Amino acid sequence: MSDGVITLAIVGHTNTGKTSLMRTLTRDRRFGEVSDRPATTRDVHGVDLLVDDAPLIRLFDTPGLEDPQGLVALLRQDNVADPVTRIERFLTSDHGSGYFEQEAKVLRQLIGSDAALYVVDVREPLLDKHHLELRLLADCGRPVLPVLNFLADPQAETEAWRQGLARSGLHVVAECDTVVFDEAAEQQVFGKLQTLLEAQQASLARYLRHRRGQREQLLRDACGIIARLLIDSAGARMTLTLEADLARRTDALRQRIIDAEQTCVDALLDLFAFDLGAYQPPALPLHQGRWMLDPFDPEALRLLGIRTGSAVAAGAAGGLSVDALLGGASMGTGAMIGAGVGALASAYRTVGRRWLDPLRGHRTLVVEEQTLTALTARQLALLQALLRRGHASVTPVRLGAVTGWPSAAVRRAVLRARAHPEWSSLNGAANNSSAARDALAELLHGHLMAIPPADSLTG
Amino acid sequence: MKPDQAHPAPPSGVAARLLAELTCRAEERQGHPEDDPSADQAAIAVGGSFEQRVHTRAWCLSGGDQRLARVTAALTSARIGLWTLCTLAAFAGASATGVALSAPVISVPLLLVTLVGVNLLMLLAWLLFTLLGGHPTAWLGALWQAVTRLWRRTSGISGPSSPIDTDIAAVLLAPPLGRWWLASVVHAAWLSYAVAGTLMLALLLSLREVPLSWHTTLLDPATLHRWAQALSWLPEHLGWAPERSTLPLTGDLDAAQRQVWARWLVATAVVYGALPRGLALLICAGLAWRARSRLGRDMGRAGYARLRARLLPDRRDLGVVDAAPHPARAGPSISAADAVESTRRGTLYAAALEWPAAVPEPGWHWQGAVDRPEQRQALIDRLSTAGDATLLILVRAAATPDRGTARSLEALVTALPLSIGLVLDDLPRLEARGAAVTEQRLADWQALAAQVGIPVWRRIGSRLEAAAESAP
Repeated sequence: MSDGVITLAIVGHTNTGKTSLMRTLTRDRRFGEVSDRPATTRDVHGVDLLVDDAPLIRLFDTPGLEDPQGLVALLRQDNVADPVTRIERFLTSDHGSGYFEQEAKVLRQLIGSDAALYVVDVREPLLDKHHLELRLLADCGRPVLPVLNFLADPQAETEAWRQGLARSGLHVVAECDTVVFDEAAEQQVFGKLQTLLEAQQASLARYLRHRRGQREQLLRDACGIIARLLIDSAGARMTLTLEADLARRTDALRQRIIDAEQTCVDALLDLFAFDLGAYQPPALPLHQGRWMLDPFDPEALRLLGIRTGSAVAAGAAGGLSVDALLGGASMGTGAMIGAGVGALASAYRTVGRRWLDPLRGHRTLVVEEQTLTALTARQLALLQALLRRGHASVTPVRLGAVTGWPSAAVRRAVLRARAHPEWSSLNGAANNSSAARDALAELLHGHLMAIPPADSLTG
Repeated sequence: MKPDQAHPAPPSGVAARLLAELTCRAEERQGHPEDDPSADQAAIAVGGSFEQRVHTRAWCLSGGDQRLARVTAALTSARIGLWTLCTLAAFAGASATGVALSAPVISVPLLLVTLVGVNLLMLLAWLLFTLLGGHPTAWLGALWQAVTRLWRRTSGISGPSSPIDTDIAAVLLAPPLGRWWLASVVHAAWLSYAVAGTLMLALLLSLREVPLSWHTTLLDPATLHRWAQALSWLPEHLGWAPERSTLPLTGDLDAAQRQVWARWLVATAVVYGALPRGLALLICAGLAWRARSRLGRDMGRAGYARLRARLLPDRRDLGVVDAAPHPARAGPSISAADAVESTRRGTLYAAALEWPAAVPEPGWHWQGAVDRPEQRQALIDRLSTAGDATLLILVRAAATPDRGTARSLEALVTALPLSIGLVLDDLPRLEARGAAVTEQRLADWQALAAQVGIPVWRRIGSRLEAAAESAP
């Protein structure tokens, strides 16, 4: 109410999900205590929501109203006409010898706030005590915004509540299921508050903009982390010198990829501020890596074509040597590829070394495409699950069915990274280049933005 | 570590960014950011953009000082290495020229090869290597380790080398920066070689009588002349060489000719030796500077992104503002529910507390819902003359057993002479929420019933059963 901060009291009958709503709005999974028992919250606990390091909205979690009928009966004993005065006199009294202590805290906080968010458990029927609660809240003289909770539950009676609330004069109602979080629903709560708090419309609009920006940044960071994992995995290499090394080396490469994926998952969960023990990825279907890069792989040829084309002028003699290196199956590209010292030199480095290494007894383990498909699909599925989860949920994240590549562009980008082991940080080399990662992150971000927002009632 | 302790001023520029980058890599390696709330607070207090806060935090972390010391040591050792290399190269250039000019008869082409040829050839090789996309990182690490070890030995830093040194090498020698930085070093060294050689050349030519000549055995004199003319083209256009037509032919030279050739030599040495290297140095240094300015700025890295929530906090806990004065009322001990038969006597009346949709059994005298106080009063009026009977109060098992319910039940118990029992109805709805929730809710109902002093049953089908096994 003072210094431009919008104060909101979260009120409601006991055990309707007020503390869970606080957790969701403040994005703090450790706030307060949540249980299925009545009167879990007994204190008034406040949290500031900051924009640019300054508080813009102040939220207060209150104890539940347990006995509104008794309180109304007590208030009726006081023969004062004005309901607000009646409540103020009640607050300065002994609260019915301490019996209505909890209710007193709620009303005191409400009178000191700009508005109330009245949390409703729509699984419960609308009863007399709810009507009395609403009347008490109205008597405090502050705007009330009902927030419907547990909407996704099959026992929800949303329509009955809407009608009941409308009959009490509350036509502006928000939906915010704290278990199945929906970014749009959170925006809706503050959007509808704008209707009730006209004087603070600009502040609320500023907060909404800030939240949208934060969410966007979060999504970009998450896509960047996933892109880094994919590029690292795609470019990961392991050189085999002896036949006997194979099993151990395969395991070593496999373990590196698994560790990298776990790090990615940990980072994603941390970004979204979830418990790091909430998700454990099942073992990757990492098949035995290929023994050497296929020299007829179109990607390797493309790489060769780019390098030689830019370095030297064309010439027929060079084309032949390149063809010879390719073992005769030139696919016509040999003649098009330039010739000369540059061509031979780069040909050696990209393809020739791969041919010489087998002659020297070296083979290279690389990650298979299907593993990369799995990594991509899994991380995207996890990200989508995290985007849809609220902070009040205490069950671990579960993934739905995992499918193939999200798009052809993503597949191309990831497979291109396979021919660039210098981009991968799993090969022991330092890695500073963010260009490839940013490009892939952009593709992933675009893919996620293109997914239509799911129905808020489905988990 | 607060900003005003230990260090007079925070690091700025490259050192700050390098420190942030190192911290980021160390944290990524360890799997999670360091948990240092004081450093986070310091960063928030200083404020600024996210990038600035990250840099402040890196410096304020508990290990920040040591890391900064290592960073500055590494940068210093790099600088010293560079100067040493350039000095050695200059020495080499000067002595090569000196040696070449100490022969009894100096051949101009040979002098050129010594001073300029090697230099130019290496430059062309470097150019080729760069254009073909070479990646020198593999052996740069080893070079770096050697230089660092040398520096630490000479400056007396003790203690084992830590991952920080490897990280510093990794950050500074990574492809975009490392390649241009190394190229700049190489060009600087060769430039020193060329400049020192040219200066020595000029010095010796000025101070000594040097018998210059242009002899050849293998080549045609005309060819040699054409070569000389070709080489003179650039110096001539830059205004530093004599006119081509005045160039003397081969053979022994007289004093005036030697002077002309001497000037031509110096000009060629500058133009083909120092100038290309100087140009290459400028370009590579510029590219290295550009790559360096991107250090510690990639905020999309996982190590930085995870700090965003800490350094740009979006909430502040105000704590408890209105504490509950006394502890939560302890529930009374739960006693076993009596069997149905022992308390059921007389007519069975049933009413639904705050639940209009209950369905009565055929044998009950249904009283309807008693949600509102008036309805309860009406019920009391009706049943106060009922005599020996039992009143069953139905509640939804899934409802929350709150104080209001307890008070309503207590009001009925005190007002009516009948024996009253609590029946938990519509159990499937509660069970749909899970076994743990069901168990807890049933226990809470039992506690409430014990507090009021009435038995509680579950309604299963058309039977009434005890609410649960007795609690210990």
